[in-house]
Amino acid sequence: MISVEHLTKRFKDTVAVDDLSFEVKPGLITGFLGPNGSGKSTTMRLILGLDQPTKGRTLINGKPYHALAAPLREVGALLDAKAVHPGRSARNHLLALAVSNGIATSRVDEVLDFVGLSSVAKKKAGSFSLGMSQRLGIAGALLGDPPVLLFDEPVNGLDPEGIRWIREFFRKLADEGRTVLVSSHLMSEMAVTADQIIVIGRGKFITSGSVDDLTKNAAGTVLVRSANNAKLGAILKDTPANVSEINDEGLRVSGLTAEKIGDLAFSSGIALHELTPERASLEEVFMDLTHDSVEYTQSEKGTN
Amino acid sequence: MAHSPGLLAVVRSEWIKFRSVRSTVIGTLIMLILTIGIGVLIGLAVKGHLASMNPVERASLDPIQLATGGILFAQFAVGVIGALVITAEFSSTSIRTTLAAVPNRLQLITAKGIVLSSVLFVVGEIACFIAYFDGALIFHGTIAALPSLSQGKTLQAVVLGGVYLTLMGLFGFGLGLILRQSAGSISTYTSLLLILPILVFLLPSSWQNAITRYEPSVLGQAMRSTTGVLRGGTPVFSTWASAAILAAYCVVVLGAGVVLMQRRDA
Repeated sequence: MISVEHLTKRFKDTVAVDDLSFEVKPGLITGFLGPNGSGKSTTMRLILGLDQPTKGRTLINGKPYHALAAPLREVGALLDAKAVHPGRSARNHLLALAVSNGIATSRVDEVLDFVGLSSVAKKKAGSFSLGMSQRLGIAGALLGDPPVLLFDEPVNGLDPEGIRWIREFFRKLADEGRTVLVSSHLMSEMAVTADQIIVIGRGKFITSGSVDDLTKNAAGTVLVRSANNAKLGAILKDTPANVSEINDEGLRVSGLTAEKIGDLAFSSGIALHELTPERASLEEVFMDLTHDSVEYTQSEKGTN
Repeated sequence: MAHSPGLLAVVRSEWIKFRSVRSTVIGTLIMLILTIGIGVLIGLAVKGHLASMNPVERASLDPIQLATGGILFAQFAVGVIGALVITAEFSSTSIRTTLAAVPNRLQLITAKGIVLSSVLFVVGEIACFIAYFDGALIFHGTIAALPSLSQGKTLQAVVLGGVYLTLMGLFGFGLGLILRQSAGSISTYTSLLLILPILVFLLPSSWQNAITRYEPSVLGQAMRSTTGVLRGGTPVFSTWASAAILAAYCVVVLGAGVVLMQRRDA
C-alpha cells in the first residue's frame, strides 16, 4: 500500500506537485496517468525519498521511505532504465544492490534469468538497448521480492512483444497481491493494463476510479437521426442539451439521455431513424479531463 | 520484518561497485605506477647531478623526498578517483538507484569514504614502500644514500606518503559531493594543486612565505620531510601540523559535501 498525503513539491518558480493525495491498494494494477510534465515522475521520486517534499508526506505500508530497514525488500522501483553506471556489468550492478540490502546473492541470477538477461549478465550495462535496460531495471526492482512496486513509463522503448510481456508481468504481480503503480502519459496503454486509474494534471489530483467508472461518469453523447433533423435540433436547443449537426445526416446530443430525446421526438411528432448512445472512449475522457492542464498547448508552441 | 543490513553491508556493496568499474581500477593502477615510476625517473636524474652539486644543494638533499617524489604526480590520480566515486553516480543518474537502495545518505557517504580510503591507503602504502626501496637501490653508495627504515623519521616519512595520497583522495571525494559532476570536480581539484601555487607566486615574497605552507602539495612534502626544510628553503609547518591542516581541509570539504547531499534532491 502506498499513501500520498497532501504532497506538494515546489521547484524555484514552478509547483510540480500540488497538494496531491491518493492511495494505491494491493492486488491491483494502478495506472498513474497524466500528460507529460504533470508531476508523475516527481511524485514517484518523492515516494522513494529521492526528493524532499515541500509539504505533505508519502508512506509505504504506513512508513516513510527512509524508515524502511531494507528498502529493496519492501519497495521495488524502476524510475529510469538508464540509471545504471554504463561501465558496470549487469550482474555486478545487481550484486551491489543485493548486498547493500542483505539480499542473498543467488537472487541476482534468479532475477537475471527471469527477465531474460542471463546470457548478457557480464556485459556492460552501457551497451544495452533501451529494451534490455528496461529489463535490467525490472530485475533490480524484483531483487528484494518486494510487496510494493513502482514503474515510471515502463513501456517506453519496448517493442510490441516487450509491451505484451510487461503487461502480463504486471498482471502476475498484482495477482500475487502486490501493490503495483505504473505511470504513463498514454491513456490507451493504461486502458488495457490498469484496474484502477489515478489522473493528475499540473501536479493536481483530477480524478480516480476504475476504467469503467471513468468512462461511465464522463459525458456521453447520443447520435440522433430523424425525419426532420432541423426541427428536432431546434426543439433540443430549448433544453439544456448541447447539439451539434453532423453533415446534415443527424445530430450529436450531449447532456440528455436517449430516453429523453426519444420522448421529445415522439411528442413533437418527429419519426426517429436512429438513436444511439455513444460512450466516450477513455482517450476522450482523458483529453477532456486534462485539457486545461497540458503544460504546453499546440498554439502556445506555434507562437514562438 | 528484517532489520537493517547496516553499514557493513553498504561498505561491501560499495566495494563491489569500486572494483567493478574500469575507471576506478585503472585510476588506482595509475596512482601506483606514477608513484613508483616517477620516483625512479627523479632518482636517476638526480643521481647524475650529485657530483656537480654545490655544498648548499647537497646539504638540502632529502633522499626520502626524492624517492617518493612520484606522489606529486600520483596526487592527481587520487583526486580523480575520489571525485569519480560519487560524480560517476550523478552523471549516470545511478545515484537514484543507489539512494533508493540506501536512503540513509550519511551511511552511503560513510561507506564510500571507507572503501575509497581503504583502497588508497593500502595501494598508497605499497606504492610508497616500493618507491622507497627503488630509491634505496638507485642511491646506494652515493652521498644521497637513503637511510634505513629504522633510522630517524624514515619510516614515518614513507608511511605518511600513503597517508597523504589517502587524504587527497578524500579531498577529491568531498569536492565531488559538493559539485556532483566529474569535469567540474576534477578541474577544481587540479586548479587547487596547479594554478593556486602559480597565483601565490605572483604575490609579494612575504605573502608567499606565509601562504605557500598551506598549499596541499607543500603540506604533503612537509609530511614526508626528514630534514624539516624543503628544497629552495620554502618555510613549512612541522610534519604533524601539516598532516593536521590537510586533514582539516578534508573535514571541511567532506562536511560541506555531507550537508549538501542531505539537503539536495537526487
